[in-house]
Amino acid sequence: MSSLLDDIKTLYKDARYKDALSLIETAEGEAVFIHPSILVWKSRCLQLTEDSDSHQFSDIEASLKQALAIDEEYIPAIIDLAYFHLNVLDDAGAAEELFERAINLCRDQITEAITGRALCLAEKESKEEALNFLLNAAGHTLDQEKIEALKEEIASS
Amino acid sequence: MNKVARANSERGVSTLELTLAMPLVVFAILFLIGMGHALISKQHAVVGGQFAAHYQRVRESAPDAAAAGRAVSAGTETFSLSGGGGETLSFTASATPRKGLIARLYRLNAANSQYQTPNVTNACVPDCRPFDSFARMLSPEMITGIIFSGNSSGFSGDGLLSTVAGTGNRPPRQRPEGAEAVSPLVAGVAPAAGGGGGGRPPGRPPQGAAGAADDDGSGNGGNGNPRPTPRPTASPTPRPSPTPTPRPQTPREPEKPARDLISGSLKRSPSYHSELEGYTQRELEQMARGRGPQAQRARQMLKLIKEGERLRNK
Repeated sequence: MSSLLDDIKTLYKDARYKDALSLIETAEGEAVFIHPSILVWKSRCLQLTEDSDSHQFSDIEASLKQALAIDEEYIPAIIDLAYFHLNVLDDAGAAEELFERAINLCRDQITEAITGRALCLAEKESKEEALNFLLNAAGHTLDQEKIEALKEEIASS
Repeated sequence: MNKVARANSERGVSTLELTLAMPLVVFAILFLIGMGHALISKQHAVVGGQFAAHYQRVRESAPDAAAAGRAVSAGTETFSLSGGGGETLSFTASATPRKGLIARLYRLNAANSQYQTPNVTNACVPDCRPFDSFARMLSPEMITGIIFSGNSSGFSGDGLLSTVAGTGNRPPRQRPEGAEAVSPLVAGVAPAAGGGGGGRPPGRPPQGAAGAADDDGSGNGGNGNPRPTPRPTASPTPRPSPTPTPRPQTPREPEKPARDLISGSLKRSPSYHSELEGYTQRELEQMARGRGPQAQRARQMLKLIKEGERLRNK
């Protein structure tokens, strides 16, 4: 599974989307269970491949929905589906609902992770370290550069 | 004058010579016909580009390539149209001959032409008062003003027109930033050298009204309107890019047309508009700042480009 994912990612990074798709489809034919991440990569390859004749446009969405049917809380699938609605189908309404769902799921996970790390710091280092970390928790969780760039983009548009 | 009879061996037989020369004559005629057809296609592309630009300017909606093709060439050519724009409308029309023996036997290149015009409406509707200008011209104040301005600085075409039209103290509406003003009188007598065809919209001051560029690089000219003052839109590239807007974004390729930035699958999205595929990302951004359906389509195309960028960065 991990080897298959690694192979898919390598092909994807080399922009060999068609080869990655072939690999995924072979795996789909052989395996009984497909991990949602494979389906997410499949949808990405489907969107970027230039060989658009062998697939339907609807396969992109279907692949993401299939991933969510397997695991409805699989965040990459929710986010990709949301971006697909926002950028490809130009449906910001549907995208917003999905993004909200993803944020809620991420919030739970990131809160858990931050709490865990703060407890580690308190145990290993000092209470001050842990408190400092919690004070800057927002800075750790978001890519501030991207947020600032987006702010400027929205302001100038 | 002495008549000299030629020997039989030196005499020609005109019929035979004509027959021998016939292939050359036929070839020359066919060549001329072919050139004529090429010129017709070029002219159709020029007219199609003009039609599209003015259609968009006046009706504020994208023209239909099929309708434009039927109008300019009655369906004898495959006609395609791409373009749009914000402050400057720019349309590229391509006409590929598809009727006739040569067009059927060989794959001919399309004749391309680009036409640009400032995106302004000169119509006075609904406040048209066509005789106001006559009343102003014939008013005693105006005549006195003309006489005095003539006495003080001599009669110049520019000054006179400016005084009569009352536009002397106002900034010209249609002048692109950085362009120099040209008097209609000067522009009217400017030599029409260079590419054939082209032209400015009727009744329009010359500023900013650009002709076509030879964007196919064939060297057979566009429909430019060379004029003595420098134009801000004149550049070696076929289509002048709108003012670049620096934005803190991920690296991108602003000079590539949208069709190269959007992957094959995403081209089947309902957000993909083939009439805008020739525009660069920068031009689409400029276009997207406007209003109306064209701006909406530009925004959709930009979203597709961004989606591709986002996925490629995974």
